[in-house]
Amino acid sequence: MYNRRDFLKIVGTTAGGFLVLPKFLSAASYNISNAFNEGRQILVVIQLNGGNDGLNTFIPYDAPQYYDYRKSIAIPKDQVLKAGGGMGFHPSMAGFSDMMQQGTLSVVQNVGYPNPNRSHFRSVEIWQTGSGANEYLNTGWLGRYLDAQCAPNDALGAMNLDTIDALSLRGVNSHALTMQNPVQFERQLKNMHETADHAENNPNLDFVRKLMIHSFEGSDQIKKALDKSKNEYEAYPKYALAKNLNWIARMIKGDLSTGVYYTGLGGFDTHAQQNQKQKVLLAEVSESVKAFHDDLKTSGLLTNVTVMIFSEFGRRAHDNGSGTDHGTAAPVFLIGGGLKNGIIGKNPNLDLLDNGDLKHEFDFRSLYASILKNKWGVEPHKAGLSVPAMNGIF
Amino acid sequence: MKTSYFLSQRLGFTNAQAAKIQQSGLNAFLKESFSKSEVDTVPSFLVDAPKSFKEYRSLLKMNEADKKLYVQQERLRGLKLQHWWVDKIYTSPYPLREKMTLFWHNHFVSSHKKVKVAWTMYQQNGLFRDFAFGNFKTLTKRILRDNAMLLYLDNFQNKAKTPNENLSRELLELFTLGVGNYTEQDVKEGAKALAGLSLNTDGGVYYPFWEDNSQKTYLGKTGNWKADDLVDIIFSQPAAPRLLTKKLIKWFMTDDPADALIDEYAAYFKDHNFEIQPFLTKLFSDSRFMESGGAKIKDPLTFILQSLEAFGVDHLPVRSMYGYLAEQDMILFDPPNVKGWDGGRSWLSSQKLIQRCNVVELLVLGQKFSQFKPKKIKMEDEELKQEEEEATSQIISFKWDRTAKKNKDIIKDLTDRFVVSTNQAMQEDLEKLLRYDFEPQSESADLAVIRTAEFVMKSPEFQIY
Repeated sequence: MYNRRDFLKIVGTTAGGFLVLPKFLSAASYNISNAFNEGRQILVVIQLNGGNDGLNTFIPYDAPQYYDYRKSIAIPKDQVLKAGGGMGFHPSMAGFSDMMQQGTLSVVQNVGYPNPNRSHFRSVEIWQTGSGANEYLNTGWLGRYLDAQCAPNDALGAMNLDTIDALSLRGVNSHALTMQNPVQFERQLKNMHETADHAENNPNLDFVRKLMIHSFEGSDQIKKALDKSKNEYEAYPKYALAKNLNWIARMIKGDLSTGVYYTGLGGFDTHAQQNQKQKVLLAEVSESVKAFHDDLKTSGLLTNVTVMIFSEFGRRAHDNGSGTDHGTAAPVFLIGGGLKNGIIGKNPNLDLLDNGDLKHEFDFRSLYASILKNKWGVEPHKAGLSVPAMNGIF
Repeated sequence: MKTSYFLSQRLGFTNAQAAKIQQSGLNAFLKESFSKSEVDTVPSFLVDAPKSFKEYRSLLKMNEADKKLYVQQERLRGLKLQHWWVDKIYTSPYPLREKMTLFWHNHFVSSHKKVKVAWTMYQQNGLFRDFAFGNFKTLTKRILRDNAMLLYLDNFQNKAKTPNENLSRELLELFTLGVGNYTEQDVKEGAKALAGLSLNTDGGVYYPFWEDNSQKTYLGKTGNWKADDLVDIIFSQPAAPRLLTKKLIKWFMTDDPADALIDEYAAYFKDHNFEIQPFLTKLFSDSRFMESGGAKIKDPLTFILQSLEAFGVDHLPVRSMYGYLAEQDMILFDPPNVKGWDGGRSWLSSQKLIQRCNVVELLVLGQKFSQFKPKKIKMEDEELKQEEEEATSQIISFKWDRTAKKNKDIIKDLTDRFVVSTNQAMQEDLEKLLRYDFEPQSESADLAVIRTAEFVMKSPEFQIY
């Protein structure tokens, strides 16, 4: 018997629903088109859910207003890990600081969009679809990129490590696969007929789940990639994010033809007890990404990989006594090869707040456009983005 | 799943009757369902179709060119007939009658592909509709004189000197007693009794020239039996109620009924003189029925109609419906063989499952279902083109409670409507898709709810009911 959770672990979903496409049925159809594969440039997106407080992540420790506005949560200057230009990382982020010194990490400051929306739901949607604040799209920016770039039958264009789909990867055609755990996926696929759970004792449901599992033949490719990269890099910490990044690294090292990986981490909605919470979360992000970075660098693959870390919004400039409320612009972090600059953009302007919130300097869509244009050599309009690409990243 | 949705789906096909059931209660709904349906007027596409026995006979003497034209017209009539019925099923305010009509069609199987006379298929369909809640024994007598059946099981070729056992065999094996409850000799003797029973304008009659008037020993009883006698003898057998009882329970309640349940209902069916209405009344008020959610795998028609109804589709596109039903192996008026559709798990394969989910995806993407064109179907016909045009131009919009205040209310509504049960894991996933700060009044609300519904409708849970 498969319960629902086991089922999802094995099967995962395609962007937009269960992994159910005729594409999976034809063994010939998994090969991503050559144009997509040659000199392959891989993007790994990490979405920080809940609205990460940018000001306490990449900290303007030289601005006296920072300490004025945030009496209860400001990070003391002597603890900030200095990055230059009056900015520095949260003390939990030694890994980020180290990568910046190596020239493999960029911070794009003050990323946001006009007329910011402070609803988690809506702002995530805006970031994922790449829409304007008053525009409603049904496809994600990466989904549209994959639509433009992949042959209609390419099923493994993107992989999302989660239980539900990322709207970012949703296109008109489904080129994305969501799975919770590739290793269990492989193992459970092998042991499919063993009974694991009798919690939901509905033989019909069990039958349908098994059928869905069978319908996924793309598992072969994932299995091959995982087999090929059997020797695991040991240095990953014991975090969920690290685990996901470890799998992603193994799939990259195993030459899986997937060009976009997507994963996330929740818990950043720090209205109260922010410092205790954020400290733990940022450590997870920093240590996990650093391990991933080192793994790929050791394998000589970092040059082709870019990690982008974003959150749906930053938080207010002023604290609320023990945390912060929903805000607007925040830094986006890029890690990988071929990055031109350490810090891009001005320091957050704490004098020129808009109703208590930071004003954005870069539109997130111009950052997306730069990834499309300068990393992948694809005209951004092909992914439905009309904002010009920003300069200075690659 | 909320009880009213469960009953709406089980006593019909979609969620369309849930409000009515909720409002008036099950008993009142059943009473309305059982009351006489309105008289059908002959559909326009059959007005000029050949109907009389004389016309049938003239078909056999047609020249090649006329034959070709007839075949063409007949194919279109078959397509329209299926569409006519599917539409009736979809739009009927009390679809229980249609569900029973479909049951009889799947029990007393005939196929247009073999019969090739749409008018007789239409007449047979009307007979099933009239007997939706009627008497099984009487219907069995009527079906032996049904033109489509006489054609389908070759009894028009069953003559005293050249017997054809096809109808006689299925009468025992598939229609009534089932294997193990009769002998090969009974089949032979039954064929003799049916010899000479052949087509006529208003149904089968005995043609004395072909009849066999010898003494026949049928299931132990001897006499010069004719069709009605066979049925009387069969229905006096102890095995008479069980086969149909099992089929009815499978049709309405569970793909895998327990023997004890079948025995109990078989006894009741016999005690009530093989009447369908008291049988269904008992079944639908049985607590075991109410607790049987998820015990059935949706047949292709139920699956598609539920999906279309959820998206507020009014006009069914002919081409897509026919293509979908063909690929899912459920063409109305054309079951795969005389045994009919097996139902249950046989409905699904990986590929069919994938196709079902792709249909949901088409609806979700706002690409209408009419864009689902699995195979080429010629529709060189103004009437069909007109219907297709209406279906293609309609605007569809997913139904959800726009007055809901919170994400959880909408999630509850979706799971109430579409899945028999939910669990914590599913709830967590749904709350990730439709988060706590979701605003039902916002402009993007529709898209967000549809994405959530898509997750539900593509889940394995949506395949069962």
